Amino acid sequence: MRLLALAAILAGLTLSARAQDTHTITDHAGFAVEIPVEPLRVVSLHDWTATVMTYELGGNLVGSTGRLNKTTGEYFIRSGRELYQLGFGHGVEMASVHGQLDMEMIAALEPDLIIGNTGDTLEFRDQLNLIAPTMMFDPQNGHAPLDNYRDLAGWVNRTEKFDELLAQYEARIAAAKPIIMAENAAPTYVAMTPNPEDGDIRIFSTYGAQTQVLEDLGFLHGAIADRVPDGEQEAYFSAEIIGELNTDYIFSSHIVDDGEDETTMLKQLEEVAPGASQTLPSVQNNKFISMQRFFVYPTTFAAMNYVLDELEALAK
Amino acid sequence: MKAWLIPAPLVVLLVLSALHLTLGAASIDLGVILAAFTAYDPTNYAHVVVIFQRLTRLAVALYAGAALGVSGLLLQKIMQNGLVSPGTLGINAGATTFVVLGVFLLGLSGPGLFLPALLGGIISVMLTLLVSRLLTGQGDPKLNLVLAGSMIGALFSALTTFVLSMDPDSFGNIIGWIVGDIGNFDYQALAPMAPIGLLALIAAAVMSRAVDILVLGDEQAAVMGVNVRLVYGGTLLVAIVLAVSAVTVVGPIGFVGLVMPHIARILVGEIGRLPLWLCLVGGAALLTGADILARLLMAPRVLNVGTVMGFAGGLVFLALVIFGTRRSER
Repeated sequence: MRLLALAAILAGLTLSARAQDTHTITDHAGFAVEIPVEPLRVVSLHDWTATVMTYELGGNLVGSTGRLNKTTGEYFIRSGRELYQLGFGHGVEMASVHGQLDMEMIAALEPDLIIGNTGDTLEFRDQLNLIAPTMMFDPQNGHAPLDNYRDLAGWVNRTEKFDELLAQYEARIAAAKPIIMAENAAPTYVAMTPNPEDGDIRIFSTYGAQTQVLEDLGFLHGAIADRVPDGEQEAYFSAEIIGELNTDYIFSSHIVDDGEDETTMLKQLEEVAPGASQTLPSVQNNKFISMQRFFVYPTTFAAMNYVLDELEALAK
Repeated sequence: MKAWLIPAPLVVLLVLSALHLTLGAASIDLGVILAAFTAYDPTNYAHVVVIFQRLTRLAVALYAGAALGVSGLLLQKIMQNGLVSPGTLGINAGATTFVVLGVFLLGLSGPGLFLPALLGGIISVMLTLLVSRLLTGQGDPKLNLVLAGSMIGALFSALTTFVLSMDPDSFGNIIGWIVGDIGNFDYQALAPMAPIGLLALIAAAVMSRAVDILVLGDEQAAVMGVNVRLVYGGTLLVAIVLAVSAVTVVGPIGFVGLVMPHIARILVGEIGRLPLWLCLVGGAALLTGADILARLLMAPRVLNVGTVMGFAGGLVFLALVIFGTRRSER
């Protein structure tokens, strides 16, 4: 009996020691950071990238930034709400309002790993590092989106889960290809959104799950996407070049919360470029397709499955 | 009077306007550009580009440049200070803050933003003059005025940043405007602003002689029968209205109102209506040139005109300062 008790205590000590094991990883901002091998309290400071990815992989997420829903007055997790019905409470608490970091709120969550975003939180890295080891995630670093996701999986010690989900996704792509690509084995596409405020167009070289799935299926991006500067995800182009959007498909995205749908996006395109609807082949052939933005921006497997669902529905 | 200075700036402006219509991200033949004006075909996308993207931007650049140029001249004349402009007096920053507040608190948009912008412009000038008066007796009064304007401008800019941080998502679309930019749809905001600006320009021309007398000094002007307070206040209001009408359309674009009066002064001095004409046409030409660069430098990307103007205007102003210093040394 004594021997059993001693063994249990030693096992506990070993587990505890393991939980505190650390390794050094270089993040997307180039910082070598010593983080726990198995982070137990992860706080993400970017909802529709790091938060949803960590959650999808089953990482030990305890906090995330959130955004205000002006209609309800409640805070929500962008894309977490849409793809996973993930909200605050039930183990994931609000760490800050998006764009307004609150160090006290973050510290109160007692994180052992903070995942920031180079676009929003890099300037606060030193302060965040005083609270817990901080890794900077950069979804727009020019690397393949799934490579970035795999990096994050390693940070939260969920690489095996990532590989499992990746295998399932690849199998689904293989199954969906004959259905979606039945008409055309290599259709061309452009991912864009009109910008009715300034009258220009936003061209994407990559746009999360949307372009990931299209490329994996064998869609070919139009030449205009190559004019987006290297290492950048998007660029605003003059509406003068609308004629270069002469691809088989145009893929766009809209925000349902703002009352937008596919018709709205077509209307905005026509505002930005009057007459475009009559000249662009994709619009003429009903191949201007807009998907819900918060479902398709994250490069998570749930988002990619949503895109596949949409494309399969169109093919049928 | 140098008679050639009446048509010459107009010729420069016409050449720049022609270039503005000819050059852009898309290559369009000259014949097609002319046809867009003589036989517009809405199904021809090149015609759409010429009329609804280039011509409309040109109209906005012409108006905003002219308004800012004249506004700067009026301010520099009545304050007898070559360093003041809508930017350095805090007018642009004040107008921007009140526009952002109008959007955030009242949900205003389009021409509805003119009144808050005007209020912001007037309040910022009043505060600048007040702070400048507090500095009376300390240092150079001309520098004190610009220092006060910079302080007030910085305060308003901080307030703008604070309001933006309250809800960054809802301001995503006006970031370009805050930097100072010409958008393809700004002509819609221009339509209601142009009549206001036109009235202000007429008022500036009408008051030109009285303002010239004011330049002689308050006492001298009063002796010559000028109601100093009325002319000073009226000219200040006209200058603010011109600047604010431009800011409402394109945001706070700097340097036009600072640089153009200096160029006019070098060419024709500051008395009479000719400097007014030079600032009107020259301001329009300056901003049109900046817009050409904004559309061409990284085409098909379009740069913010405010950024291009800030860079080019800064260099021009530096050149003017060096030129002025060397001239005064001779």
